[in-house]
Amino acid sequence: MADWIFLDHHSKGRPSVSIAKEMAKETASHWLFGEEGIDRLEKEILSFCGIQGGELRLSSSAAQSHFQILLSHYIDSIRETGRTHILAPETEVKSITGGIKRLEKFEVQGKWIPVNQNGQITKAALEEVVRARSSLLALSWADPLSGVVQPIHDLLEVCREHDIKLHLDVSAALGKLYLPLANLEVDYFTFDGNLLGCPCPVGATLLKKGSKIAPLGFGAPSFPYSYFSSLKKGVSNALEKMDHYAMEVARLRDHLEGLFSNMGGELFFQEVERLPNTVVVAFEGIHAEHLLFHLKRQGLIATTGGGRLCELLTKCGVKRSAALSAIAFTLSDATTQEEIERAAEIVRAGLDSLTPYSERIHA
Amino acid sequence: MRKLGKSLLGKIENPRCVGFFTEEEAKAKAMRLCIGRGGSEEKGYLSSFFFLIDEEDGVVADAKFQVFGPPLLIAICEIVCGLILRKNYLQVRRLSADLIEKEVGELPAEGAVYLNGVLEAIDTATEGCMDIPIEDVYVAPPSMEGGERQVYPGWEELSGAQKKEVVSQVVATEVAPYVELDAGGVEVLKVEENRVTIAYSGNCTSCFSATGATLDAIGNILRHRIYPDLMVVPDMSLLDSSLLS
Repeated sequence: MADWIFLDHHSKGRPSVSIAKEMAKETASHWLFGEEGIDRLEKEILSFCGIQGGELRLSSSAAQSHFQILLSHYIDSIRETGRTHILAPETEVKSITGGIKRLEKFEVQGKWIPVNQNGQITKAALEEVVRARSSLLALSWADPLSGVVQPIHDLLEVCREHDIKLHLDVSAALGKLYLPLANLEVDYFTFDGNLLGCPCPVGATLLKKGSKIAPLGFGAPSFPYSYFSSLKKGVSNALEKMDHYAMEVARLRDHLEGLFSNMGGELFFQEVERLPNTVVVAFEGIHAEHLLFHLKRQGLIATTGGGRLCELLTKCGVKRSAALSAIAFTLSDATTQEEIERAAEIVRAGLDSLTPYSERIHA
Repeated sequence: MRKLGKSLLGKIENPRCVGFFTEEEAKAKAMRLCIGRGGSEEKGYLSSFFFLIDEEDGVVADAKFQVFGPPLLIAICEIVCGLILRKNYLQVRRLSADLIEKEVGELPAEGAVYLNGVLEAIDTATEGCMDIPIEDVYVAPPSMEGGERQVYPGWEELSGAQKKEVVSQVVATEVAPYVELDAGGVEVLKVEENRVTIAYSGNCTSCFSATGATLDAIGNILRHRIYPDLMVVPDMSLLDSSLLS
């Protein structure tokens, strides 16, 4: 089997060797009294993100941070105010929609905002869902599968007008998109350290000044110094790579889309603002899970997001047969031209060998 | 998706029955082409079977399938094509989810949903040949020639009720699914020492093999799976009088 070609970088981040080495060193050197340096690292991470005077809370993943925010919002806000509606796009990641659904066992009510054909929620769509009892909007700035960027400024306007708190996950967008976090009146930002190359399980919540969330547990040990330093390095590296993503990775993405188009692939989300490293393509007639299986056997990793991509496309009005055939490829700053060429060859071979399975399925 | 076993992987990667037949091909072989489809795009998968049915005896002479779905569905369709070959359409219609699941081995949880679609496709396909007269063809449970002989731990110390429980479990999984293909049934009445008494039902009560090949096969399976000295006898009072003369 050939070396792996990994094009699923929004599901799992490749650990950075330099961060891993640094982390090993600092685990050894800061095992005692490490907490004394944590305040400084917290401030540095917030500063990298352009936030002054806020707070940083670590967790084991962005998904855990999502639930921490939802639970804290339920306990500290909804129980106090009775404003039980939590809003999210109907296509949002499972850690947000699933967290809201879990809280529906109590008095929380999840309100799902429909997306347009580009996978975005518009200001009008949000206004349609907003009620007096709406208290929190939770969403990803950019969807990790489609790469589609939400019109945050428009949405923020509605939130401020109706006194709705805003939780933005920037896991997929951080380091790939200019994020003016300092200028946005967002209450909570979250991101995943794993997608930034951190070798340890770490997620982060950035709280703007005045925002609060309850801690994960009481009396639990805090995260070690090396986790904070690893996260700082991950954020710093990501921000340094932004130009590379905007130029080189976007070029490779366009090249891959061109190759797929020549094979008859139907490409999605090309006409909307999106991340520079995501490709969503459907080869109609070939079921996505079948093609993914074949690609994996040949050493190429892509994803359907566990079926979420199909649901997302269906909500965007894409016909079901195409949605069931859709796969997302996510490039990284380490992706090479050779990998893109090879990936396209593997896909082409897969289409050739899998077509006989379904050429007369509608007979 | 959970990791699949070697046997299932082999069926997914090298299936023998992927494809289809056309009316022309069927005509050239003097066969009837029966096509059935299951699942839907809404459900997320589709499967189609193409059976070549012998118009003389209603037996499936050849079978192919088409799928639009995940790899596990391919393995299931491949297994089904293997199971139904040389069976008549009535036997094919009696193919149960249990039997397919047994042939698949350990069916991953997500696979259960595909079984319904596959059975739906089989039903639709065989509806097209129900007018063909068929012979009474019997299918014996699988032979246990060769294979690893097992001894149930502590068999001799078990009570009669415990022994009955052990034997019933093997009969339910290893014998009943095959007998059901012929609209028959079998259950364990009692186990005394090493003597197992079984009760036939349905078509088995009037089938000559109930006291011949089927009985031998059941005995072999139980001796292979549980204890080498087991003896199996049917409750004769439940059998059709024609078998006793």
